[in-house]
Amino acid sequence: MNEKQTLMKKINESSFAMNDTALYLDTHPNDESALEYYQKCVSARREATCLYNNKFGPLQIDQVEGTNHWHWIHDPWPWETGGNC
Amino acid sequence: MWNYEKRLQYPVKITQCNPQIAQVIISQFGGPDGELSASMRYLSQRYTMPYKECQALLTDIGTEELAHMEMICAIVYQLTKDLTPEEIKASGFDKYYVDHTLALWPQAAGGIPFNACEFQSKGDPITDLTENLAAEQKARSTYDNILRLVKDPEVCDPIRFLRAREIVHFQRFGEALGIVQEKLDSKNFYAFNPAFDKRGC
Repeated sequence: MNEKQTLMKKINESSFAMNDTALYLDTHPNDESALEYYQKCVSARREATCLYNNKFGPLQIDQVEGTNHWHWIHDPWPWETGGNC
Repeated sequence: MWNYEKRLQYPVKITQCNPQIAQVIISQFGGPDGELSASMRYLSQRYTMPYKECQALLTDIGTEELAHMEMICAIVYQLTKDLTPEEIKASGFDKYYVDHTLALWPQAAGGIPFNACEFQSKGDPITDLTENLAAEQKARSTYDNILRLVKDPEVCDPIRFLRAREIVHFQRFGEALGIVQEKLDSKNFYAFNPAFDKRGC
């Protein structure tokens, strides 16, 4: 697995953990251990996303950088072979 | 408001075309218990849902269903790209191809177009959450049916992920129904509709 794939795996895993914990917290909004775990997932996702953006480009539109080219349009899109999945 | 993130919720990497299986899996895009129905059901119901836990849950599960719809579309796309006219004819994909070429269009496996009548937004919390519990189980059964037909591990893997999410969502909607019932008259949950009859809200 190359660096790009490793970072994407981290983003996928931390995002999934965040999402699943968020659903649990919707119905258990005072569960302190779940709240703590959620914050850990947020930090892990933020860190992996930041590294990914710097090396391999934007995943969200507000992560597009530069003033001479619109990097958002670049392949691959997630459904394509070799996409960010 | 939604923000798009350029990735799938769970990886879809299918290397072998299989238009026959694509015609079955497309039901989870536009079929009666598909992901388009799921997202529209929850995102429509949330406006009149009176309790904050349930409003959050409908928003968050509705959002996750949009990501599931994207995964199903990616599966169908990867199973049908690069097909030749001969392969299209031989696999029976010709009836879909004639109207849509290789594009994604929401329909059930039997060719019935997506229809909003496949889901309900009733404006009564008990009714809506009970609808959602059934919907999650119907989608789980559909994924079980798909898994009996599909042998390619590259297809089975994301389908198993989606199936597992139906079970988690069922659990969360059950908890939401419990939250609603706690706020109602314990002697008669049906004494009034908290989304319409304002007393007790």
